[in-house]
Formats: sequence, C-alpha cells, structure tokens
Amino acid sequence: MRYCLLLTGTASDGATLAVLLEAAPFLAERTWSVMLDMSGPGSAIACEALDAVLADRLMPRGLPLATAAEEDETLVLRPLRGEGQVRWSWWKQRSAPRLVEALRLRRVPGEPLVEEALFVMRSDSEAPRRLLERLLLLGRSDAQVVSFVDEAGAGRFAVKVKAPPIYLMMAARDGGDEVAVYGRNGGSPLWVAWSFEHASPGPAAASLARTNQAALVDRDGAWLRTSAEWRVRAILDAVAPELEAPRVALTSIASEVRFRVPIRLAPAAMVDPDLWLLTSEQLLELEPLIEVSTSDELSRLTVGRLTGADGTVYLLRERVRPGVPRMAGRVSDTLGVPGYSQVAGADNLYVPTGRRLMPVLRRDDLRALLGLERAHAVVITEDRDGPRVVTIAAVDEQPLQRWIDYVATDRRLELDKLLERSVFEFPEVTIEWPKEVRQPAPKKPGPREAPIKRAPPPKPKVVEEVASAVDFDAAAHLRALREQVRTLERRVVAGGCDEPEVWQELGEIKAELGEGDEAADCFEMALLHAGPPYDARLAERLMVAIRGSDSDDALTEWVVADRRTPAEASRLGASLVARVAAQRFPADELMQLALPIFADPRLPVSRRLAWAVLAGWHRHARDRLGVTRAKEAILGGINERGLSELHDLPRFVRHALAREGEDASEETSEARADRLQQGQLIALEAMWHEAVHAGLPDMDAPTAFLRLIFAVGFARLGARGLAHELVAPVELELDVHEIPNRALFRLYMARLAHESSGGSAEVWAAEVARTVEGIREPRAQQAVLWLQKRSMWLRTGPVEEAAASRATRFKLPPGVDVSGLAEVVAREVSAGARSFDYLIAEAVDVCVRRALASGSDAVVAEVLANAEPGLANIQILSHRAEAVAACIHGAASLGDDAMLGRLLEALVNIARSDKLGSARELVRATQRGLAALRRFGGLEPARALLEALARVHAYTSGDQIALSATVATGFVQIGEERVADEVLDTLCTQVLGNGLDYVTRAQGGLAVAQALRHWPNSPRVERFRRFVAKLPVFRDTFTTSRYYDTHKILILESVVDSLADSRTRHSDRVQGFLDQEEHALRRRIVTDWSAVCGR
Amino acid sequence: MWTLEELEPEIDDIRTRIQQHRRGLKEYFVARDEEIDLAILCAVAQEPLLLVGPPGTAKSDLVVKLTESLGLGAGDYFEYMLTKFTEPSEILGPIDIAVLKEGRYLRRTRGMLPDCRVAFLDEIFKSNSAILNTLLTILNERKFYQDGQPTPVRLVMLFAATNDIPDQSELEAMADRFILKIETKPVKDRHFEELIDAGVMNESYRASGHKPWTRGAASLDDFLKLKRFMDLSFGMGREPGRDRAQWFPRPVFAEMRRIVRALETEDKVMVSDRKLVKLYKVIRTQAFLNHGGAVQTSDLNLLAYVGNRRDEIPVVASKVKALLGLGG
Ligand SMILES: Nc1ncnc2c1ncn2[C@@H]1O[C@H](COP(=O)(O)OP(=O)(O)O)[C@@H](O)[C@H]1O
Ligand SMILES: [Mg+2]
Repeated sequence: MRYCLLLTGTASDGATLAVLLEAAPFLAERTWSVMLDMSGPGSAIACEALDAVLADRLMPRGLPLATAAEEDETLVLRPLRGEGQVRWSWWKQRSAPRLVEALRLRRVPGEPLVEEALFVMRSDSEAPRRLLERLLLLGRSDAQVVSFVDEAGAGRFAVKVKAPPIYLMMAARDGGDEVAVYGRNGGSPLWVAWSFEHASPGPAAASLARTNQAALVDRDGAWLRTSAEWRVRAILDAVAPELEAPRVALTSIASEVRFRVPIRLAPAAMVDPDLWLLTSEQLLELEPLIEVSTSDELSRLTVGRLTGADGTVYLLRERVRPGVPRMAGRVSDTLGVPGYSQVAGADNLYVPTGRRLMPVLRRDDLRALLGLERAHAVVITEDRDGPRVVTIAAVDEQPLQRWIDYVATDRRLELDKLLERSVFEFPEVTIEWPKEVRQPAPKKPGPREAPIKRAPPPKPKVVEEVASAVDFDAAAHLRALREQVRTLERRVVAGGCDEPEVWQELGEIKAELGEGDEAADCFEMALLHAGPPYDARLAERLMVAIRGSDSDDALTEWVVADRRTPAEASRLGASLVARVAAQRFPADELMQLALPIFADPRLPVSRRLAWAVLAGWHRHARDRLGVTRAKEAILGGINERGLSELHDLPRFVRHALAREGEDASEETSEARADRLQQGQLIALEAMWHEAVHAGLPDMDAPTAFLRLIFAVGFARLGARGLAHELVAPVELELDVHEIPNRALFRLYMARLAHESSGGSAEVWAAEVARTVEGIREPRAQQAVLWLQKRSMWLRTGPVEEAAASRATRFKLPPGVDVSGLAEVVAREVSAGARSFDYLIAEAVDVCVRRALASGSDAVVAEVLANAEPGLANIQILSHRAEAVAACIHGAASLGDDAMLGRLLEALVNIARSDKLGSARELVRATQRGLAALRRFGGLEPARALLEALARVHAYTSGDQIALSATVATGFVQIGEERVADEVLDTLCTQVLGNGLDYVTRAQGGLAVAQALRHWPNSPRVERFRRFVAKLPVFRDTFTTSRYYDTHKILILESVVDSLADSRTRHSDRVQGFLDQEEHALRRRIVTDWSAVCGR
Repeated sequence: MWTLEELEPEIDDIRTRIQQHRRGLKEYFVARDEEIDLAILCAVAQEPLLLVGPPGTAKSDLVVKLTESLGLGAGDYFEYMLTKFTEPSEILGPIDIAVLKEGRYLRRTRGMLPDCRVAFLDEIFKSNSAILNTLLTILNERKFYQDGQPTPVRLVMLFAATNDIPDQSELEAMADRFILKIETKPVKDRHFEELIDAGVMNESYRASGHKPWTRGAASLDDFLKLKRFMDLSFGMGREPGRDRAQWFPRPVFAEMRRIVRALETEDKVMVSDRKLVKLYKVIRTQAFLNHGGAVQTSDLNLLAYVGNRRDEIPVVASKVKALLGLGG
C-alpha cells in the first residue's frame, strides 16, 4: 500500500499541485511513480517521501490523497477522506525523476493553434519522406529538419515548422504511432504532445532552462530530454530530388569556326530619346521650350560640351525620373531632331531613336566591339554614309539652367516683391537705380547662388542724403504698375477673356516694365479679339515686341526657308499682320507661299497668331472661299489637337496660376514649387510620425514595408537623407524576413535608388527581372510577382491606362474621304449591321474625330445626325458610352444644345443602368465628354452633366466608387471645389466604412487617392491622414497574406505617391485656362469668318 | 411517393442515365466539367447552387441548358434576372386584388417562383431585402407564406448566378444558404480556339432554333427518384452512426475532418453545423451517383466549394485541392 495524490486531468490539478508544493517544496525534486488510468484522464502519483506521516500532515490542506493497492491487476484507490474507492482495471505505471515529469498531460478540446510544431519519427521509416513531400507540396519549404539519437541509440528524425499546417498535425496525431507531433509557443524549451497541455508549464520550462535542455513530453507525460541546441538544416538540404524521365544526351564538338556578321542599324519601335547631340545653333533653339518649362522640368535636362573631330558638339540629356512624364517628346519637337535612345542591356550605348542594332549581340561582345568599358558613353550616329561610332570619353554635364542666360521668369516674382518691400520698409532710403534705366530689369543672380531660400535681407545701396524725389517716384510708379499688372492678370488668368482693351492695357504695361515677350502675347490677344481689319498701331507694337521686320527682304527670306524656328515663324506672322494692317500689302506671290504655312496646324506659333495672319489677309482680299478654308484648317487643327501649352499659353499665365491663393498674403516669398514641395514634405513627415506613433519596436514585415514606402515618398520630394534613415534598419535586418519579402524589400530599395538617380524604364525592368529570377522557389517567386505587378512603383512596363494609344481595330474603308463619313457611320450603326459592339463604337469615334479634324461644321453635323439614332443599337453599354462620348464631343463643337441634352441624358442613363458591365468605359467616356464640354461649351454644360452624374446610384459599389471619384475630380477641374469636397467625403466615408468587400474597398481607396491628386495640397493631406489612420481596414485574404498585406501596401503607396505629386493639380489649372481660351478663340474665328462671308 | 422496393430495381439504371446526361451536357461547353458535375449533383441532391463569376462565363448558359435538358412541363421552370428595382410581385406573383378587397393578402403564384419546380435566379444578390427574406424562407423551409399561412412550395432545384458576393450582412444569410458555390473562370486564355468553336456552334443553334441538348438521357423524374432513394437510405440506419459506419470509411471521414479543421483554423472559413450535415449528405449522394457505393477520398472534392465570401472561394478551392493532393 502506497500513499498517493489523485489527479483528475482537469484544470483543478493546477491548484492541487500548488498547494502540495507550498506545503512540501522538497517533493518537487523527488522521484515519483505515476499510475495512469488508461480509460480516463485521471492519474495517481506516489513518492517514497509521501508516507503516512506526511499524508497526515497534508490532509488538513484538502489535498485529494489516497492509498493505492494492487488487487489482481486492478488498481484500487481509496481516498483518505473516504468518498468510496476507485478501481482502475486498465492502467499503466511509470516513474519520473521529478514532479514536473510525473504530471500527465491534459487534452485540450479541438485543434489548438500553436506557433511551432515538431514532427518526430524514426529515420529509417517511410514517414520522413512522406512528411517532407507533403510539406513541399504545401509550399512549406521554410520547415527545418533536425536529427536526434534517442537513448536507445535509434536515429530520430524531426521536422520543425512555424505556423504549422493543421492538416498535417491532425494527420500525425490521429494516424497512429508513426509520427508524433509536439507543439510549443513562444520558443519554450518544452515541447508538448500536440492537442495536450502540461499542468504546470512554467516550472517545467524553468527546470529545463536550468540545465539548458529541451524536452518532448508525450501524452502520458513522459519526458524525453535533449540538449537545447539543435542542429537544424533547411528542408531543401534534406531532400534529394529525383526526376524519373528518360534522358537524351547530346555531346558537343568543339568548334573554332566563327562567322563574320556585319552589324547594322535596323528599324525598331519608336521610343523616347534619352540624349541628343547638338550644334550650338540647335542648342539655342531650345529657347521656346525653356521659357515654358518649370524649373523642375529644366533640372532634368543636362548639357555637356564636347570637342572632337566634328568641332564643338553639345550633349543634351534628359535625366529620366520614374513616374514623371518624359520631356523627350517636347525636346525633339522643339528641336526638330530625333535624338538617341539607350540600348536595352547596355547602360552607356545609344542608337538613333527608332533604330536598333542588328543582329542582337551578347552584352560582352557588344562591350568589346564598341569599347563600352572605356567610354563614358558611346553613341552610334547615322547619316548617308552609314553608321558612325561616336565615343565620348568623358564629359562634364551641368544642368541646363547654367547654360542659358535668361531672366528668371520663375523667380522674378520673388525679386519683385523683394524690391517693393525694401522700398516700403525703409521709406527714408531708397534703392539707387541707374537713372537711364527706368525698369529694374534685375539681372538674375547667378544660378549657382540659387535656390532662393528665406528672403535674404535686402542689400540696397543706401544713399545717405535725402533721396531725390524722382527716385522715390520711380519706385512708387513701378510698384503701382506691378499692382496694376496683377489686377489685370487676375482678370485674364481664368481664361476666355475676349476684351481687347484689357489685353492691350496689360500689354502696354508689360512693355513699360520691359517684359517684351509677355507684352507680345498680350498684343496678340488684343489684336485677335478686336478682329480684322486689325489696328495698324497695335499690329506694329506686336511686331516690334516680337522683333519682326517689315522689310520685303526679311519676309521673303522667312517664307522661302526650308525650316523655320518657332521664333522665326512668330516673327514672320507678326510682320505679315503688321504689313496688312498698315495697308502695305505684301506681294500676292509671297502670300501664296505664306498662307499654307499658317494654315498648317503643326506650325509652332500660337493659333491666335496663325488665325490673325489668315483672317487679316482674307478679309483684305474679300476671299470667302479662302477664309472658309482657313477657318476649317485652324478649327480642324484645334479640334484634333486642342491648344498647345507650349505655344498658346501666355507665359505669365503659368506663373500667375502658380500664385494660386497667395495674393492675400504677401509673406510667402518662397518660389511656389519650393513652397509646395516643402509643404508636401512637412505633410509626409507628419504622416510618417503618425504612422509610427503607435511605436514600431521590431522590424516585422508590415513595418518594413511602411518604412520603404515612406522612404520612396521622401526621396521623391528630395529628402534623400531622411529616406535612407528610414530604410537603414530594413537593410540591416533583411535576412530575418521570409524570402518573398526579402526580395520585395530589395525591389523597393532599388526603386529608391532609381528615384534618386533616374534610370530608364528598361533599366528598371531589367532590375526587376534580375531580382525575380534570383528567387529559385516558384511559390516565393509568385508571391513576389503578385505584389510587383500590382504595385505602382514596382511594376514595369507602361501603365495600363494608355487608352489613347490603344490600337483601334476599326478601319475606315479605303477611299473614304470627309464627305463619305456620314454614310459610313450610318451603315455601321444600323440595326442590321451585325458588327461587334466595340467595332461600332470605334466606328462612331473614328468618324466623329475625322469630321472634327476637317473643321467643317457641316460634316460634323451630318455624321452626328446619322450616328445618334443608331446609338441604341449598341447593346453593350460600356461600348455605347464610348460612342455617346464621341458624339458629345462632336455636338459640343457644333453647339447643338438639343442634341447635347439628349446625349448627356443617354450617358446618365447608362451610368444608372444595372446592365453596365464595368465602370471603366463609362468613366473614360465621362472624362472625354467633360473635357469636350469644357473646351467647346464652357463650364455650364459640364457642370450640368456632373450634377446629373452625382445623383446617379450606380449599380455595384465598385462602379459607384469609380463614378463618384470621376465626378468629384470633374468638379474640382471646373473649380467647384466645395461640391467636389462633398462628393469626395461621401466617397471616403463609404470606402472606409463597412459594407464593402476587401477588393472593392481597396479599389475605392486607390480611386480616391488618384482623384485627390487634383486637389490643392492641404485638403489632400487632411484626407490622406484619415486613410493612413484607417489603414487596417484595407484587408485581404490573398494567398500571399502569409507574407504581406497586399491592399495595405497598395493603398499606402498610392497615398504617398499622390501626396508627393504636384504636377497634376497645376496642369489641371493650365488646362482650365486653355479650355476657356479655346472656347473664346473658336467664337472669334466664327465671328471673323461670318464677317467676311456676310452671314 | 416511391418506396424503396420500387426504386431498388431501377436505381442503377437511373444512375447510369444521369451520368450519361451529365456527359452529354458537357459537350456544349468548354472546360466547364467541374461546374456541370456540381450542377448535376445539386440537381440530384436538391441543394441550391451558386455560380459566381464575371459576366460572360456561361453561367446563365449552363443553367439554362441544364434546365432545358430536363424536359420540364409548362410552368415548371421559372427564370428571372434580378435588379435592385425588382419588386416581390415580379418573382412571387401579383397580389390578388379581388381577394385583397376582402382584406386578405394573397399572391397569384401561378407560373411564379413558389409554383415552379426548377428555378434560375440570375444576379441573385441584387435583390432587395423584401425579396431576400421571402427567398430565405423558401430555401430554408421550402415554404411560402400566404396571408400568414405557410404553403409548401414545389421548388426542388434552385440555381443562382452572380458576378459578385457583396460583403453586406443582410446578404450573408442568403450567401450562407448556398452550401456549394463555384467560381466560373474565363477560359479564353487556355482554350481560345475551342471557345470560339463552341461560340459559333451556339450561335448557329440559336439562329436555327435547334436545341439538341433538350434530348437529355435522364428526365426530371430520374433526378427526383435518385433523391428519394438517397433520403430513404439515409433513414434506413435508424441508429446514429449507422449510415456513417456503412458508407463513410473511417480514414475518409478523418480526412474530411482534417480538411474542414484546416479551413476553419487557417483560413477562417466558417463551416456551420447545418452546413456540415448538408455536406455529409451531398458527399454521400455524389459517391452513390458516381460509383454506387461508399465514399472515397476523391469525393471530398466537394469541400472545395464551401467558401463563403467572394475572395474566399478561390482560396478554399485551391487549398482543398492541395490538401487532397497530399494523398490522405
Ligand atoms: N466555357 C464556355 N464554353 C462555351 N461557351 C461559353 C463559355 N464561356 C462563355 N461561353 C459563351 O459566352 C456567352 C455568354 O454566356 P452567359 O451565359 O450569358 O454568361 P454569364 O451568364 O456568365 O454572364 C454564351 O453564349 C456562352 O455560350
Ligand atoms: Mg448571365
């Protein structure tokens, strides 16, 4: 008979043990004998030290003590507090060296989740192979393999898996003795048979820690102790893959034969050029582009001066910045030379744009052949004699600004203010201007001293004597003039100002201030809006401002030249207008040459000047046919291409627009771009601090992504140091992350480098390919690609939305000219046509566009009259929307309000329909319709459409979100910011609220972020903070969520990207001006034309 | 109602006919075998089936061809495309004005959902809550309340299609009612040519009004008989566990448990108690239909369709296939 303690195998055992150890702590380290009831969870534990005396002492503590005796194989337990005896007929006995090892494990209900599992099996069985195979099938190559030798000397094989698959654990647990599975949490040395728990895990773990051991505890509670240090291997090192497939071997024969292959240049796809080789004259032709470019844009162009056998050559290069629209197209257009593009795969080799090297050579061969290693850059040029290799050994490239002597249009505003303030703040002193120069014409401080930071204390030359009254007056006068300029500018910057007096007055003042070029723009406007016959004096003012010449020789020279620079074309135009206005008509022969020049829509002068030349002449000649053709040429050109920012936007308008909201406070004297960027930087920093506010102690994957994304944003805003600070910890701990994340982090870091250095798209694509190919495991690779393809920063290739360049599949039948368009469109839309809906929609679009380009209202009207009745035959609504938008474009140009009304209604009905397949086409159609309305019809109809669309409840929440974002953006673009805010806020609430599935929510979030680019900076920031704060709602359940949260990353990226974007908003405003301007110009042209034709 | 004795002699023929029917239907589609297997099974087991997928993936076409192949009588089939403006009367029948004057609120259900045997509801999640509630009762209780009085509906097969399963709580109950959901994926990337060929054939059938699939090998009665047979055989066991012991081998059952637990714990896919019981029955039915006997591990493929939410469906499908691929 032995004394023993009865354990029930329930939670109450914990208390029992605690009481026991408190009363008799020495029992913990004694040897125990354990009796287990094999048909229940109970057990009884006995110990020599637990004798009658001790039992007696322990009784008062309420411990469940009993005596145990064996009777015919049955264990009889008699509780000392006689509640009747217990008999175990099926029982087992074992001994344990200490109390913690004597405790039987408790079954926990169900299938508990554990952090880590250990599968243990005999190494000489089939089990290891089976388990490894299954783990690999489940993509769990992160498992680790451990081998042991047990006391019996038998080899044991174990597999350790984090976040173990439940399926495999259940299979092991329920599948007999072959595999034993243990679990543990929080890195404890105590591995407990899975689905069971230890009655006193704390002391058990502590006892192991003391001896630096680990233990596997089986269901009965028996311990298998091992050293705590296990040698682990990667699972892939433990498998020897084999492939059972017949093999065929081909042996190679060494061969020394080489074939001579001439290298030549062959046609290739047109891409944007990366650099140009220019003569000094060509370089100077950049002037018009420089004048209209922002300093940000200019900073992306660099110039280097080279000398060699060809004399002096300038190397102009664009530093490509990812995500920033290229300047290359504008540069090439302005220069009229094509330029050179980088060869994919060779960093410093360039070939003419639209050409490629044939045949394709290995990189190494290319290097050796062209000596790429030794050169800074190698350019293969091409002329009639064939290709030439131009090797540039070394070059010192400087930003373009340094090369040009131009008045800092950009900064003049600040200089103006500075000067005025100095007058204002020191009334007793004044600045001494050289007497003969009335205007300040402040020479721009050397660009090396830029950028202007805080306004430096003015350093006027102080005149000790009381300043002469004249000086004081001059300064005051200047100030008054500037004030006047601003007042007038405010009147015209909204666009569409057609009062000649206003323009003339502005021009005169600008001329007085010495701003000749700007004065010219104003005089042009004044002339245009006064209509022909043009005022001779005004025309002369224009000619002088543009530096034209009214001599016959000059005119002839310009007219017969092969090519004219933009400046020459303007001079020619202004001179012609002046001659006609002064009734000194140029010879007919000269005009016969000049008229087609100005009727060409590609002539690089403003459309107003082109029209003034044509209208002035035809008016004089009373040539109705001529003026009609001229009207169609100019209107057709505008219809097709719209007005150009380069030629039609008066330069001061850009700066005036940039002054948005500043007029009230004269305090802000930073250049707007700097200021905006500063503001964005502050906002981004604030957001970063909010994001980390909760604390980011450890470097888990979400934190790392957060850091990387913000870092890219900072880099974009020029805060490189901060960016690197953010990234450093990620870089340091790269290895602790899982393979896919590691690769993604590398990609983001590469992106960061690209932001700073500005590599080309091809370079980026190669970088991505390299990283992705470096991942051997297909699943991991897929996990990387999953995000890489979706991320706006990581993806390669063009953004999907390049809708404009989408190939049209509809082709006009050969031989159809403008007069045949109506017939074509009628045939296409007729009910019996049996064509595909997308083709019908494209047919409508193509015909309307062609009709518009003809410039003839009659043709447009005819096409529309035939198209409209058939629109309903397009069954697929998204295609119908496209066709409707094309018609809206046409109807707006005609000013046919009745038709416009019907079409707008049709568009609204489509939006409302439940049959709309996807909102994408509708959104595109709406944007196109809006753009057309703004250009042709002014703001009213655009507003009407937006208001109607704002009331539409689209059918699915996804569509609703896309539509609302479009509507909100539309409102902002027409200046209705308050309404836009309302729509957008509703949208934000919807996106952040409940009731959306994850994917729609994320799409909504992206749409909002996209829309917000059009907003002014501060409301933008405010909303983004909301988004970042609510980031956790952007969840997903993609397979990749094991590694990262796709939606959270995409949203964050898009928020950061949008926040750092300053171009969209500004170009919206510029576009707004041009739209209004186009509207006014169109009216003007029709008026002038009617005057000649007597209608 | 047929008795077991009546059914037993012909049940093998019925099985063969339904299998043949199923094969026949597959010919009209490209890579829709999985969907058709499931639809036929649901037709036998009288479980509603939800097809989820983007427009133009032959959801409607599949259901329409299947129902047309059953040789239904007039008024036995009801089909409707729901919109959020759909009124209850469009589905359940107009309110009987004559009776309403007497103060009673009855619908004339003739030819409407409550009166038909087979129904197809397209875009089902676009229905508004008035319709949703009635549909739920019909699905749960096979009853329809007329003026407060439950009247049994004749509906035996319901197919539904949708583009999307909106994440809205009021739709959850409805979504949950579909034990099985399958995603129809576009096939054009893998089967470009076949798809075009099938499309051209379909066009020509449409033009000629020719519907060869209507000559299905099995009839509605065959489907009803098999279901009846299964019901009777489930009832035969009487004592608990009997059916399982006879038809569901232990290792297969353990495998089912493992997969369900893995879905629940690792992917948070909710498998409600009711759903589990229903699953058991459809798995048994599939086993009987396909090989006339006990459940095999391969019959657990049905677990692939238990995903609830839109984004869950593909995850569950691929996970179950992966787990089954581990070889028991
Ligand atoms: N896998 C396919 N096999 C054969 N035809 C198909 C397939 N997918 C689509 N189609 C054809 O495409 C058309 C559109 O199918 P439909 O049933 O209306 O799609 P849904 O209801 O999913 O929007 C039908 O004519 C159908 O025959
Ligand atoms: Mg359909």
